[in-house]
Amino acid sequence: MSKVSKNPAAIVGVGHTDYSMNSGRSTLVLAVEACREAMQDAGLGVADVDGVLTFNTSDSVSAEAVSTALALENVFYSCEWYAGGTSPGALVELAELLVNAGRCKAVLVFRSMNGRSGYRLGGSGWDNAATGMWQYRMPYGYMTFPQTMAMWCRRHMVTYGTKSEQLGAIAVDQRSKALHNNRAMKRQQITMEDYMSSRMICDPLRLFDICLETDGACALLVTTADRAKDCKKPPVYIKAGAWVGSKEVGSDWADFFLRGDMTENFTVKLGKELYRQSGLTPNDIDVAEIYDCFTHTVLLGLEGLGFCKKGEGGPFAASGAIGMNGEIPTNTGGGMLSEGYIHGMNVIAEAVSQLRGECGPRQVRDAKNAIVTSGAWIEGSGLILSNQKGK
Amino acid sequence: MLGAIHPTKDMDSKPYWEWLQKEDFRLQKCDGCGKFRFPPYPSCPYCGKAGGDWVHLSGKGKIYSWFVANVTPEPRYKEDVPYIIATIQLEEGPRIVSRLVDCPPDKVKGDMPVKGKYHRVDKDLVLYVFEPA
Repeated sequence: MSKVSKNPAAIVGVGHTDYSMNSGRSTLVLAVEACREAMQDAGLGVADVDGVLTFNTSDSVSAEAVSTALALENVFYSCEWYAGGTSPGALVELAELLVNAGRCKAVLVFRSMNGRSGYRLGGSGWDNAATGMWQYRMPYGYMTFPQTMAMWCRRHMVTYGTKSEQLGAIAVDQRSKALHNNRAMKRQQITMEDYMSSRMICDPLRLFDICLETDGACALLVTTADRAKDCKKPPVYIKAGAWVGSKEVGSDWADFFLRGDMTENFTVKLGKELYRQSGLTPNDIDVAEIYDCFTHTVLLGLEGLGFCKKGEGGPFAASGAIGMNGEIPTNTGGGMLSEGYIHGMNVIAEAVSQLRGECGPRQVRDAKNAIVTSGAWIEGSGLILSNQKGK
Repeated sequence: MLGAIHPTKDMDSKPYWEWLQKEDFRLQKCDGCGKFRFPPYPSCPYCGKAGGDWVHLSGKGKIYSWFVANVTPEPRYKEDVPYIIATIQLEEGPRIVSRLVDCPPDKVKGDMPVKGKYHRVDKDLVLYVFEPA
């Protein structure tokens, strides 16, 4: 089964609100702002856009509310996933399937959240009811996102000797890129000393291993290659897109009971599928935007996507390979550790900006192909994007 | 406090908690492929066969991974900080997560042998915790 890459769909519009700790606006206002900006960016109007996709954890607005507020003339597809960071790549891929199947002309994909001032994934946003799989974790005191990643990170340390300083190298490197990103919430350089002395949250993870909490919205607009030619900005083609699951996934995102190997995540399977679809290899990739809810997911992504060998993500990251002039510039806008956490939508948006050559002082020179991931643990999704239509 | 949040038992998990309440650590054992499974499922996640008897386990295992909770957003667990949560590889095959007790955080090692024990929280709840073997 080979992907029809002769005529790949394209991302033609990108929209961001400002990223802050207190937006002072509803998630509907934020979503509409980001979606309007994506439409203007593409030069498409309310008669051109006829699909809206989104995801949330019961902390945001519906796709319907946004298409209504935007006054879209026709809607031929609308959906809302109750899901987290595994979604952005998969929803862009769904948008591609919809436009290439002729179901829709152009499809918006957005995520809108008041992740700091409203529903905080880190704790205050939920009721701590030990239902479902939580009944086997929560009574013992196992209940937060950083804790789940700490569990994976520790096994990597046990098996491969991965060190805190190597995770720190990722945090420090991404912050240095955020200095050149006007959208970034954190634009003050940190040093390794700052990293090592940042508060231990759940050993082995420190405060600076953990992404930010952010209010904001980010939207992307997808259309066919033919329509993309008439849009305002150069098209960024979707060369490959996939969502990968596993029989080890269990019953919720923090269910690792059936997972054999916690030293690698979904990116191993994802990378194989994206390279198969696109016919590209890790050597062809110029930019990596790896879902960084934590530093450790960057390390797992570098290994899983084939930029270094399994177990060598720590030394690889610490060698400077992920820097702007390294082998594979990674999370070039500072990522969710430093730009903001829009649940992975902004991770894709940065890849699009890089491939359009819009990134100024943080631009990767001659960037043609970018790989993007969405997710952290057993399942997830991702894309290979390119500014070249052919191979 | 360990166990301050009680499990919300459901139809699939009820026997697990009821056996623990009797201080008997039991999991379902597939009568098709013979594998133990955790958490409780109505069918075997390895071969798909429905059912399976609840069979007692030794409680012996090794630490596959762990973290130390240095802080917690949950007020009811603040007095326990710092505490250790471990993924235990049980001798009989499945993995479980639990509190590692009677072990200082800096003494935990990967693949360290551990042994389960019952921890009565109150009249309604017994948890199964682990200590160094």
